[in-house]
Amino acid sequence: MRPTLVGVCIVVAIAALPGVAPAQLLSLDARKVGLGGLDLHRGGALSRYNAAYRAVPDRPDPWHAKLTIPIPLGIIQVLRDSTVLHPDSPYFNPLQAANYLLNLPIFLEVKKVPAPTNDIAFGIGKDSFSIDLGKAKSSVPVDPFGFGGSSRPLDLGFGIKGVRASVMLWIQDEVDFQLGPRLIGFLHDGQPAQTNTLYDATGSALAAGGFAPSLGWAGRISGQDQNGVFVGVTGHYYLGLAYGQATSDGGFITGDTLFGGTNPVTPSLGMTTQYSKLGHKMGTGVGADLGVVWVTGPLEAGFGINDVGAKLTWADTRIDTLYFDSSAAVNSTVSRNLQNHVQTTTKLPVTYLANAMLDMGGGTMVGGEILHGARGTEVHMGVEQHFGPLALRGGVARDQQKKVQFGWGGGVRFLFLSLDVGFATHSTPLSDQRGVTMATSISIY
Amino acid sequence: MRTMRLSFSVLAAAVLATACGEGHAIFNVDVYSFIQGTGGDTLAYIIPAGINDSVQDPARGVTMLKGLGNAVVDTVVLTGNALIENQTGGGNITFKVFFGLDSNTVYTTTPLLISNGTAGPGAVTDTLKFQATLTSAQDSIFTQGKAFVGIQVGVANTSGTTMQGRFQLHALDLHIVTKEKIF
Repeated sequence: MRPTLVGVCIVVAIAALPGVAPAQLLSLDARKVGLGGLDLHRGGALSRYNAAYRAVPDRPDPWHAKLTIPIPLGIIQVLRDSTVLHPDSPYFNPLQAANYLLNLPIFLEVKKVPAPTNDIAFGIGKDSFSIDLGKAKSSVPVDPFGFGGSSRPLDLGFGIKGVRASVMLWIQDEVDFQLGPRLIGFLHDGQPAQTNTLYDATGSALAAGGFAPSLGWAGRISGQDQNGVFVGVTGHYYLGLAYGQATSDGGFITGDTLFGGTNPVTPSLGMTTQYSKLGHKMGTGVGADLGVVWVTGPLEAGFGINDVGAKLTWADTRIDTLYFDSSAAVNSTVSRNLQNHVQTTTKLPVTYLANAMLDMGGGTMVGGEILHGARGTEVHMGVEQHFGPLALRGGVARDQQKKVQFGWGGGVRFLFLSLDVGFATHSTPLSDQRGVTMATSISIY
Repeated sequence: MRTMRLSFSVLAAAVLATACGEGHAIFNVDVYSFIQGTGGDTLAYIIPAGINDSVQDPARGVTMLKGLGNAVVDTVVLTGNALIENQTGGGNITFKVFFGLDSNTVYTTTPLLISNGTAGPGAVTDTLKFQATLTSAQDSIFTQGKAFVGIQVGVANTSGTTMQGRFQLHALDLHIVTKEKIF
């Protein structure tokens, strides 16, 4: 019972965590932070999402860094605030601790989002219970919510004349939640709790990982020198090392009396898990990355799409069920194997990136990009102006929560090094005001 | 199995941690609902002439929210009303509300509320309204997961006949205001 409800509570809490939004804008590169999350210097994200960029010749860009090292001033802030992490501390704050865990603050938060002042009223009676969250009711997720996506932490390979053979590691994680209608009514709409009623939430989680031998080609199909139309295609043969997936519906059924003390609630839990662990037959599947880039003088635009058709078949999957048996003889959770050595499938989410940038001359560069992933779409736009060794940057972005955020910053360069600082705004679901994070990094050219 | 109290306590604690910010958590506890229905809301009295006596019921459990234990209690106010339905005789009524953490010793504690009224003379129904703001020393009782409440009616028969009637509790509410630290 308790784990189920605690899970619901954690979901509710995480949904309102103050640090989720800033992740959209923050990068380890202060230059990118200052540009509202945009990379104007052909950073790694472009070739990650657009297979054609491998074929685009390098342009004479003195601000294209070989290496960027973040200066983690935010860690100092965490260390100063470490008392909130210790459960024995009188200042222990589980919400802040969870926030640090989910959003490790590499950079300094120079302006925190003001904590909302909000009174919450609880009504408690023997047969009644209600909550009025006040303004905070907007933080209760009425719609399905979750997090996750796919990533490629490593991609090693070699290429000859546009053909590239490689092996990449891939990881997929997906977590989704949905509060049940009665729980939404109770938390969001202030409806009193009812006797003999199910309060539940549904959830699903998936984690998978493996590697993919890949073969691709990228080249110019028209144009010459720096200009032209470039296309790229990479085929992947996905080999899944392990995966696990769970879907659940959990909650509790109220008894005849809400706060009678002797009247129990009945846990309600139904969960199905399926997994293929390391050592089982590997999952297999094929997919492709496609990309196109158009470069004409100072203007370039591209579109890349990843993991098209990437469906993996896992030939050796075990499926179990876990449920709560409320009969007097059992009165506990029961786990049973439903099927073993069966075939199941998973699908990698399709991701696409559309980008454009323009070198306007006189040290001015502007650009924008749209990145669509499993969790929604981000939009980034930015401008950079150079004055000799100095750079000024500004940008605007729409994060996955559809909130507009801003970035600004600057940098100074000494020979092959630059010291950059970038500021980015972020929001919380509970406040209309924005906080500001300051990113600092050193780039080597 | 767990009790509803625990389930909702965990839920409430999470809600508080999520949504309270720098505001207050306000708990309006309908204490009367825990007394009503078990007969504890009615105290009948038959007191001979010239006698002072009291009647009381066994203490009843009142559910708080577990997790309040670490809360900083700002204010606790006890309010309510009752009807004194006197039939014969007349005198003074002293209504007392006790709270404690042990059901066996509730009535040995200092009452948190004392309210005086009159009854009669004769067949008269009077309304008794009462309110008390508790001291910080008394607040700690309400940061526990469960407390016990006892109500007692003292009757001083100042008439020359047997004083008979009943004390009918109609409302007894706790208004608890806490701030910040819930865990």
